[in-house]
Amino acid sequence: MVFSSLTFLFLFLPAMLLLYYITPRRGKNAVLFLGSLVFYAWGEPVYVVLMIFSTVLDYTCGRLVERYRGTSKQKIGLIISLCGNLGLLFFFKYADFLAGTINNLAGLSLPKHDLPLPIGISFYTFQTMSYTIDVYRGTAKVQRNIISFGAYVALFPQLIAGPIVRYRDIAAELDTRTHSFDAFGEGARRFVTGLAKKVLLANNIGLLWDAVSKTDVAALTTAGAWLGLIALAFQVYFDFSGYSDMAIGLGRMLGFHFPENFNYPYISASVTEFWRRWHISLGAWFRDYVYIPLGGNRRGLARHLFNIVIVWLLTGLWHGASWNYVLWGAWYAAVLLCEKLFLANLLRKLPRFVGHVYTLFVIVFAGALFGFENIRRGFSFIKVLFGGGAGLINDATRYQVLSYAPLLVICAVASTPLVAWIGRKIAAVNVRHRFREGLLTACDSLRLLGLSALSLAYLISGSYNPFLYFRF
Amino acid sequence: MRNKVTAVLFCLMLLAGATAHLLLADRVYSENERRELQQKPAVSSKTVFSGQFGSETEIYLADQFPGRDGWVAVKTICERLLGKRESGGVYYADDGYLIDIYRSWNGKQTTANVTALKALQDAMDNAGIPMRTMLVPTAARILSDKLPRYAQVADEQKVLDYAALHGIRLCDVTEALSDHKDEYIYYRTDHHWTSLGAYYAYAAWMRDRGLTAMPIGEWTKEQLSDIFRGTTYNKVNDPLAACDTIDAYYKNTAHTVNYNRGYYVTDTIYERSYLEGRDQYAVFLNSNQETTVITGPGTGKLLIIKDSYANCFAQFTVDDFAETHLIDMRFFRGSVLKYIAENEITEVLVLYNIPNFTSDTAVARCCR
Repeated sequence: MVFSSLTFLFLFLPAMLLLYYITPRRGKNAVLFLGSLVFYAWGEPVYVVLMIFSTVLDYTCGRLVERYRGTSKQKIGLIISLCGNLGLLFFFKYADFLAGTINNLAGLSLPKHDLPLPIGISFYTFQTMSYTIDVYRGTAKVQRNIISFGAYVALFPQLIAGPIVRYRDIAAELDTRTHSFDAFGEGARRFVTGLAKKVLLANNIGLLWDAVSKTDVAALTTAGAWLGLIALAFQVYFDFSGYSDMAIGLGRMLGFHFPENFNYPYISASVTEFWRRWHISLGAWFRDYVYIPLGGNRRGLARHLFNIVIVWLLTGLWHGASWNYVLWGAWYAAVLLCEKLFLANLLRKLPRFVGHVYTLFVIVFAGALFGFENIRRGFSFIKVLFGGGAGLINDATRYQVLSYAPLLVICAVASTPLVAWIGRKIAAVNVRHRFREGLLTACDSLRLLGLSALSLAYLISGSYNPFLYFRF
Repeated sequence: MRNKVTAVLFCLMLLAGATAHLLLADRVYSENERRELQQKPAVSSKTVFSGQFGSETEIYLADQFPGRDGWVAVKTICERLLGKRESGGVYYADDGYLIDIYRSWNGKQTTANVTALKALQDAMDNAGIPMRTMLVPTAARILSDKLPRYAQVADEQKVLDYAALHGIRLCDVTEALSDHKDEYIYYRTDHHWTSLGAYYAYAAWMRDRGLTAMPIGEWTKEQLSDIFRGTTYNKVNDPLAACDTIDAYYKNTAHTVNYNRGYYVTDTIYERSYLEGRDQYAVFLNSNQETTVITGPGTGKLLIIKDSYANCFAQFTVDDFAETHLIDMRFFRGSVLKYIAENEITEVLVLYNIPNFTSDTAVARCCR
């Protein structure tokens, strides 16, 4: 089930909230756990077994690590967890990819299983692993209650698309958390904002990328290709950050504080800064569990650069089991290496807007690697970006520009902190406290109702499908 | 306070959305979309495990959402405000026109149809029966001035050139319609031409036959509807779209109309019961029927092999001939050649709208 669906909004969520709030404190985690299983099973009735397996596995591994702490067997639990989770991830996500690659290179015909990828497997395996590793490292306390642990793993707000909540981030709240009107209101606001980002912005600007990426390369213009990539950049951002907003908002409604995942990434003045603002929880995961264990930046320059490359190739591969994602990771690795070596110093001496332009170029271009799993198609698209298509611009491109100009402007503005800034200005208006509260409440309510109504209109229209050809 | 208000509002919204459709009875059919709506999905272990139950539930909720057409209209208004220039395969053109998008045609089907048409024409030439073909351009071509700037449309002239090159005797209606492009010759909310548009084509056809059509002012004109919203309206569901008017033109009204070999016989070519519903263009010759025979006061027997564009065209021919026959190849399963011989047809007209001609697989059967 996805959040941006009527099923979630008007069947699952009301039922879930109702049950959750009428259940006494002691039973709330059980409601969360079972509800989350239903949430997951709705779209993946069979694969829910995998998630339960991963839950039981890491619950047991955590207990094992605890049981044998300080002895030579301490590592057993950790190793089982790593093998189990990475094995699961490898089998479902990478086995076919690897077999295909080997078959191509060596001319073999290794069999493929052709199983669909279980939704969210990349997220929940990373989360359960983080738990066992943290228990092993002593940075998190072992969870003895399997229901509470299950609630953490299956927690529906962040199950499908993150943020990747590390166990220690919410360990305390799993056992004791407070619920309040304030938290619920904040959460609802955050949720509706995220819903609007996904349904109104991401889905609609995505249509432009869809049209461009499906255009025959021979008919594509350079301006059209760049326009498509800009649309893709907006689509990915609003889709993903919208999901994170919804997750964080749902978390607040249930009494949790999830870590932030995006912080206006497109206003960055360097790519290093961009990755501190983009998918923060994934960056943190790779930092804590790959980069730092590899030695980070403390083992000399060569090792430092090597670690960056490893982390970025893995990050690329995490995004999808295909070579284009590896290339995408490599592109970022190369740019980040350059910044570490000299570019960051250079940028500091230049006017700030140079940094912005350069950063946006790197990000938007990366979309060409990200957007095509078929590498050959990706490369012919890149050729068009640099002049190898149907000319610079044509009427088809002009038509697209005119059709999408208002939406592109809205997306651009919504990518900056401008709206939040205006909100803060209103909040800081120097009038009597009660009046200000009234003003803020009115603004909030209008925004909430307006965004909800528009999102709903788009969701309902999703099935608008007139059938008019039976007697043309 | 502000969080409390937000919290309460949000809960009320969820509650309203969750309960509202329980209070209303499910609709079976949508007039606007002309399709059956999703009904409550069946629960069984098979549908649940295949995920079918889940996906049907989502469609069910959307289809049965209270005030569905209003919500769709909200979306359409939003899109128009955001400067969208097309939606659901329709251009938002100037002067309130909603024009179907026709970007490319099926080359293979066009070739097959032209080949079959040429065979029929050769057979008619041998039999000494005059035959002409009228391929009607779309509003997108004739009213191209009204299209959004830089809109991409198919080059319909290429279809005509292709047909002419392969020896099809075409009655040129493109010029006839273009000459009158500032008049009301296409519906604003439907993909058909108006009766007036059909009249100009009729006049061009008469000219080709060496005759002169009676001037439009001398026909009796009757407004059949002024609340018509057709298929392009349904495609975008734009609540701001103005209604079209449907006009009838006739000399006299005494005809015998025989649908599908006696299945339904009536005395008028206007089937007014359709004016009660949404599908109002069907008022002309009872929508599309397999075979239609109209007797009139003229001489000779005309056969029109056609799509729905001919339905309002035929009102101009019925008094010129003793019999006007119409065959819709999509429903007709017999041999056209045999039909022509058996009914002693004296003249043939093939009349298709270009997008339909380039996509319809049934045309290829016209010389069997």
